[in-house]
Amino acid sequence: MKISFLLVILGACPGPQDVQLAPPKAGFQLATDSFSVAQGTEVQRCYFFRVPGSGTDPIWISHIVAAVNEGSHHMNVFRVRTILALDGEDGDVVDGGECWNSGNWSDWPLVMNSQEGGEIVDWTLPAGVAHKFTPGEKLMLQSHFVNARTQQTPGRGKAIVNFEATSAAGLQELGTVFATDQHIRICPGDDNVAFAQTCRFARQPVTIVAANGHFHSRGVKFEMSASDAQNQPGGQFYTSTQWADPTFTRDLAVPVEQGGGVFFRCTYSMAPQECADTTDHCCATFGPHVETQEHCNAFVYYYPKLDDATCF
Amino acid sequence: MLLRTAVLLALFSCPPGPAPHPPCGFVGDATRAVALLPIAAGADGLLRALHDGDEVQLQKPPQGGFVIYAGVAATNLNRCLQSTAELIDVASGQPLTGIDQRNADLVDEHVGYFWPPDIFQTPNIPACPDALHVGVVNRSAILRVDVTDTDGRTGRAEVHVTPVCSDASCTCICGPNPTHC
Repeated sequence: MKISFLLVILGACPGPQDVQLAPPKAGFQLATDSFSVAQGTEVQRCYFFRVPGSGTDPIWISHIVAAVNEGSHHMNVFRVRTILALDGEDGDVVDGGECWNSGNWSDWPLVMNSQEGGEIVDWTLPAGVAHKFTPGEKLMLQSHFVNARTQQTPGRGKAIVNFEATSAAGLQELGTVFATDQHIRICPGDDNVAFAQTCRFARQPVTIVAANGHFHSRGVKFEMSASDAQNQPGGQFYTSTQWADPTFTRDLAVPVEQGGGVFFRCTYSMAPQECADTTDHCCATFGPHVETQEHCNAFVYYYPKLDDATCF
Repeated sequence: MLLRTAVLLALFSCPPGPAPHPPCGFVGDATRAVALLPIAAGADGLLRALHDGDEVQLQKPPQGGFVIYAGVAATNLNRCLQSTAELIDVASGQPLTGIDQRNADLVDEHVGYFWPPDIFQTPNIPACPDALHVGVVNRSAILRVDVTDTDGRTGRAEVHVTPVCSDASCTCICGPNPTHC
């Protein structure tokens, strides 16, 4: 009798709800299913999609809305190019396995990312600027949820992104940069240890309009500046001290000169009693697992688009 | 006996601690100028001294692209320092690569210099793909390394090198047209 009463009470108090977004009137929506994230685990799933439509006329996107459930570590959307091991067709999902590996991403251009779990990123691109897609183009949405020591997922995992089309003419194409500093190592007792790089991508002068940085729990500060043709950093346009939900800074208008790019610096501290990788003196080295590894990734959005730029 | 057992149990139940390293402090001869020795990692991951005319290996890190692990061993300065490295095009004097900047604790003395313990404390110069479409492979370049120790001493080392690949994929991605590899 008591058990029945408890079940009724529990049933009347549902857990956190999955995010919801109505599809855009024009454009397209990418949405994952709702999946469980068991206590003590990290789940990374790669979802493959084809941009809807037919023909060769491009689809121009000027408004992006991303919604992900609380507990999301990241949600990244890439264009699929060279296939090595990770692949799928429209509707396929790769759960773990090759989805954890990223050896073929040096030419999978970034489309959009969001790290703001439980919140909605609503981004209207600057006037006259839009993301360009081709009907049938293959995209991959990678969703990473954590329900462990460093981050918690109170409900289930789910991510949705709306790409709202514009019919405006004379648009400039949005370009993206994905840059990552791969050989990093942070150890117990390290205090404000920093790793920095420049990523040179501006064959012509461009304007940075948005950016965000990404690292894990030992990260204490992420900074970005435009760099000149001599690799020298200028004024800082991005600072984040939040590792779990770093700011997606929009509405920037940072000029980058020809031959320049972006300078990004990740600073880390780790308490002496902390332990990441028990097989490596408790240190954290490059990798996707939040609990045991670290990242130093910069996501930058600019116009007009040049090449799809990646820096490794 | 019980106490000894308890101590042994406590020792073996703890995860391994960080690799021990000495505290920051001056190394070398305080009456002499900062001295730097350019170094780079070969394909075997081992750091070696560089001399004018040497090749430096373009190497594939875990997530793609190609980098050069190159920096300096040093003496007559504080062994805790920040190291910044890049390649400069000999012909134009312009950077051929991005810079990499990182902290290093120089630990092991060898041939009169104190060396970084591994490639994690040696600049990982981001070299390829080159979105500026210059391309780095087989170009005559200057490896430039600037250091600043925690006490503010500075130094610069330069050495003429040629970045090289060990396979065709690297040669293409590190060439002037990486988008068509």
